[in-house]
Amino acid sequence: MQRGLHVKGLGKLPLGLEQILDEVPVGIMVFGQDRRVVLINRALEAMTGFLAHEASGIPCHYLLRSNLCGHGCQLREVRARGRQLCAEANIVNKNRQKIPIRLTSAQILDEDGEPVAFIESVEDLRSQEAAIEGSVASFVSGKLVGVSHEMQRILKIIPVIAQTDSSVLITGQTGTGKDVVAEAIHHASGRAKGPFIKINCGALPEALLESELFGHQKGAFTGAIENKPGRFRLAHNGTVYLTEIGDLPLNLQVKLLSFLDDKVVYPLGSTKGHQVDVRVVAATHRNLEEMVREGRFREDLLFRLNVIRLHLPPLVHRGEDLKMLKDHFLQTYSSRFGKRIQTFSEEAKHIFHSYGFPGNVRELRNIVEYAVNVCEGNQIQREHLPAYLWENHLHRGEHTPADDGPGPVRTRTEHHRSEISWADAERQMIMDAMVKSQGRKSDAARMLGYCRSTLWRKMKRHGIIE
Amino acid sequence: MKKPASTTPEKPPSESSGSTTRVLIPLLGDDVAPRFDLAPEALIVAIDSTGRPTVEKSIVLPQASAEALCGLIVNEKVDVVVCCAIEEEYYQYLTWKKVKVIDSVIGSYSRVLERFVQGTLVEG
Repeated sequence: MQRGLHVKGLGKLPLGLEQILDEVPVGIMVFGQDRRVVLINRALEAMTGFLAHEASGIPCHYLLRSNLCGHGCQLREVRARGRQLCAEANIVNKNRQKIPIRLTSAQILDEDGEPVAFIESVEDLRSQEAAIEGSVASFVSGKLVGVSHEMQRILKIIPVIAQTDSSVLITGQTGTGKDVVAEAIHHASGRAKGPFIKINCGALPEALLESELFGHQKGAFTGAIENKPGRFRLAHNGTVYLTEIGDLPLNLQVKLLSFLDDKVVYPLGSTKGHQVDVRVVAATHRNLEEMVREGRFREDLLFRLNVIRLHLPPLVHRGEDLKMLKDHFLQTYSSRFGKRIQTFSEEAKHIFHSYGFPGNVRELRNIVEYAVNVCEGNQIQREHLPAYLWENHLHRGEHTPADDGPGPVRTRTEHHRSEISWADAERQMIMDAMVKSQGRKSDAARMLGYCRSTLWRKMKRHGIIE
Repeated sequence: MKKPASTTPEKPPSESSGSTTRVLIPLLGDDVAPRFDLAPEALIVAIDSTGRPTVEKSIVLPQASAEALCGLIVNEKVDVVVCCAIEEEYYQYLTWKKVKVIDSVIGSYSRVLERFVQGTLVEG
């Protein structure tokens, strides 16, 4: 961040401009006539993923990375007309997300009326795009799809939860849509224009996670060559989403607990605290109560997070949603891949309805994506589905849809599955696929509906490979 | 060019496959294009086992498109893509196709290649 840009008259000493801009909930960038970045505020740091010191001095188009950069740059017109311009655009941030924005550019003039710099405000439009679209017969809320009683209850409660500032704990099996619900809560809340920062508590080693969450002071440890604000400070005026909270190390649970109490962040190696205003949404697929009993999760932290609890039902308990989701994904992938597939054959439908979907909606989505990729005609047949689905189905033999009756579908396989953990089931599924494919990982990945890298990651997690 | 410097260097091309490494850089003028999906040009460079880069071809794309660029990368059997902003979808696709992607790289292509050959070019 540039030093020396100060605003006088607000206190005894001139106040740093960056301190003032950091409190603005819209992304702001100031750059010189050479279009090199002079400063950016905290909201833009959160939106682009680049810190102020990384951005300082680089050409503006390499920071913003918008679709207007290059031939559509509006600065030429701002300079020629001498007035501010506003346009809707999109950017791709450091996390490779495409974000719709409203970009307003203006000139900064000196005392003689000569242009000396430019200022741009970058407004995140995701919350507007995710506006709830209701319909009479079904609920499609942003990325959430569901007509079942369980999902209707959740979709109705999300706007209510969003209006409060209480902590939310989302539980549910893997692939049930915890991330989507967390994002929906953020977008429906008053913090929608603020940042939504997702932190995977299980993805980083303890030392790195602490610095990532709470930031660090320059010189706090070897390699800490710059001050780092940490994700909590970047999420100021927004929402922090802590996914896989059950994997948070005990030491950090204490620090998180202290943060939830007073909302003050103490960066590593610093005695000075920073007050931040964030809402915390946490999620896990683990049984936190059991973890508390085993001494692996702090009870007081569970109480702090468990103010509002949302449990997402597994797909097998969302009977009517299966058909809707199946058709929804078929439509999505057909149009994305430029195919004209309209329906599933009766046999394919039967296979879907008799399968347990241990990977829930994510697994269903992957299966449909695979089928759309493989299918050349206009109807998805049995052979277009991953082999593990219909081979298991054939082994089950005489099971027919009529046996199931209305409502959530349960099969013998599912009953068996419910007795073992998802991890065991997944491991077994991978082993079966590897045996069938005679050890060829690409074939096994195709059978399972995973991409190769996902299969490799899962195999590593289950200890199948080193 | 400011970005390429970093702590965890890429594997130098001479160590990567033992033979030629084909690198594609989406361009805007002489610089790395700010956006992968909006790049009007792409440069394919072959780096031999001694680390000597040779510009193989500069392709003017008929229409800026991430899909078209991905198709070109796969058809041209490119090993490494060096670019600035790329969406997750295309990043994952290329990684799945065993193409190494080094993104969030800025600056002129000559400097980028220099750093790549030195083995000091990294993401971000």
